[in-house]
Amino acid sequence: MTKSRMLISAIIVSVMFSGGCALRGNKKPLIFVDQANNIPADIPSQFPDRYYFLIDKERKEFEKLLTDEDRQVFVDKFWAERDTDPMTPENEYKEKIDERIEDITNERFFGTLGTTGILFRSNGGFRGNMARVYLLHGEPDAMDMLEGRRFVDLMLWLYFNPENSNILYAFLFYQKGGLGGSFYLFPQDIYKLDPCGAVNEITESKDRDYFSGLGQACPAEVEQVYQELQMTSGKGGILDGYVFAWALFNFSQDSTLLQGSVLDPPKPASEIAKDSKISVTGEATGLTGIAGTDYILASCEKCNSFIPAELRLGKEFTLLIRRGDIDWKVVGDQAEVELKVKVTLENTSRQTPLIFENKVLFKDQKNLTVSSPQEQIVIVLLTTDEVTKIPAGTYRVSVYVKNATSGLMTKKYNAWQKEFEK
Amino acid sequence: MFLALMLLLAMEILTGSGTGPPNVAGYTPVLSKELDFQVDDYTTCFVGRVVVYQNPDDLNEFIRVYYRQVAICSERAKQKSSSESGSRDSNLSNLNYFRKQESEAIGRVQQSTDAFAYIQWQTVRDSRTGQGIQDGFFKSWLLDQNGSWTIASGYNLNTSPFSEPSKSYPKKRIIVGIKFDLAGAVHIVRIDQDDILSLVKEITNDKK
Repeated sequence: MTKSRMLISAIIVSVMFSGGCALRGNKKPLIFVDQANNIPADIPSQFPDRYYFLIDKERKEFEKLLTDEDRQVFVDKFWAERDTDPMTPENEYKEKIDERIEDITNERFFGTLGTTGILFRSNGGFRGNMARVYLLHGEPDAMDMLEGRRFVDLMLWLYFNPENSNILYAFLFYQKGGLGGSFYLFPQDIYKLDPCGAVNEITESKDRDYFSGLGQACPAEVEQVYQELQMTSGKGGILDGYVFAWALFNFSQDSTLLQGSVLDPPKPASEIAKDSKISVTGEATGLTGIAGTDYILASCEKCNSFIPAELRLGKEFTLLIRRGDIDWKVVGDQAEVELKVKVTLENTSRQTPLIFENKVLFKDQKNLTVSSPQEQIVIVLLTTDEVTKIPAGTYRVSVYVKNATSGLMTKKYNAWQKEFEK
Repeated sequence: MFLALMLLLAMEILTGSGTGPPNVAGYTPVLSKELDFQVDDYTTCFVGRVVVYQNPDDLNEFIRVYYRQVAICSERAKQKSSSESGSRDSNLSNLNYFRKQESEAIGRVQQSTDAFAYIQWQTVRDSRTGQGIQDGFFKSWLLDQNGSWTIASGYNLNTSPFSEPSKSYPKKRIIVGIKFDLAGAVHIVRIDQDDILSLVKEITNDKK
């Protein structure tokens, strides 16, 4: 084959390849805001590249979107679901993530005590392990570096549990390629049950004959490295070697927590809130039907939540209520009200209180509720028979009455506390 | 004798109709907070709202109004541990989500409230500290259970927790409301204990 033929073939292959890519809708080149760290700009088409902690379902959903308008809708929904405080107009979560990205651009740790000189750009940039941890968890509560003669450089980021101040996450980075290499996350999960293997992994001159999980005795040289590690102090004087040694095979003081799980894309705040089961009870259900036809609401001024009534304790326990002070349900020509009643009688000589819980249904003529709202009706809460059964004594009586009429349930109520002598 | 007479004069008590509370229309609300109580670490019940108004024509005059509402209880998110949720911030975030839901429910029930207690007082400037202090004028109103107002000059409202035997453990008492009393008149704002039990049930079902 002549040189010119080879050149033509190369051009054809190249054109075919590029044409194929075009047919497959190949992505446009990314636009970066920080070339050194490879941080993509904040534009809808680059959303999964900049905010790469999308959950799988979201990523697939995003890939199907064809226009920037659709992508923007997705982006808005994405952030709304992650907003940590839906009460405020700001999206605190997005602000926090953008601040962290800004920190990465500004090489936040370059001048920090303990990690002086450390750059994200030298350690994988925006997609590197360091940036990923920083993006997901922010600034550590404590961080330091450890240098030794016989082990590679280590860097430890600690995050404390705000509930009990224990170590929640211990991200240990190690200079995998030796001096001058990048920092990578040390896989503590793998070495949880193999402390010797963990130390061997960070040793400058690894013992190649030691294999994890074969029940071998830990080589003496590795033991010595572990001793040296424990004796060394952090560069910033913040963390000592003992903490680094612990972090080699422990990710958290909570033993159920694994490094891998906390680097997974975080669940949206709205999802976590749903899982946490929050509830508000007691609220009245909305009224259904037509006022005057299906129900008649109390006409008195102070009856929005209140049922003003006089409680009488005697041979019967009764309530005197003005018709216009209570909500009624209309059933044909009748108006009815169902009260949930709780009567509690306590006296000092009885240990167990007497409790009566009833639902009392009272029916009246519909036209009277309209024509005579000031007239009083008498509703029996405890009948003569029930009161007769109460043993003699002096009682403190608490009465609670709530409108629980089915189909109405306005939940207006009143409560009394009185003395009663039997 | 003289002292007793003075005391009676100072504590004039009136009941019945025609002695209604002051009208706060046009007054400026200067403080507003929920009338609530804790049932346990996670459960708060809301029975009303307290608003302090200032007279715009006499800045030394204040009226505190207690409003009641249909009572609701809210169960704050039983926080998942940080390890479960995978984020140190999730508890705070949960709380924020919960507050939103809670404040929406409070907003709904507070569309229908009834004022049931008023306290009116005046302040004067303390020449020594420069701060406003009560000048001795003091008047209270309480709506009793029958729907009539009790007025007392010189009396303050007494408030105390209102409890009843627990439904789950009858030998234990549980706070279900707040009791207001004024010169023998009583007004109780409270919740239905079954509403708290329904929260307990929900949590129990959740754990199954």
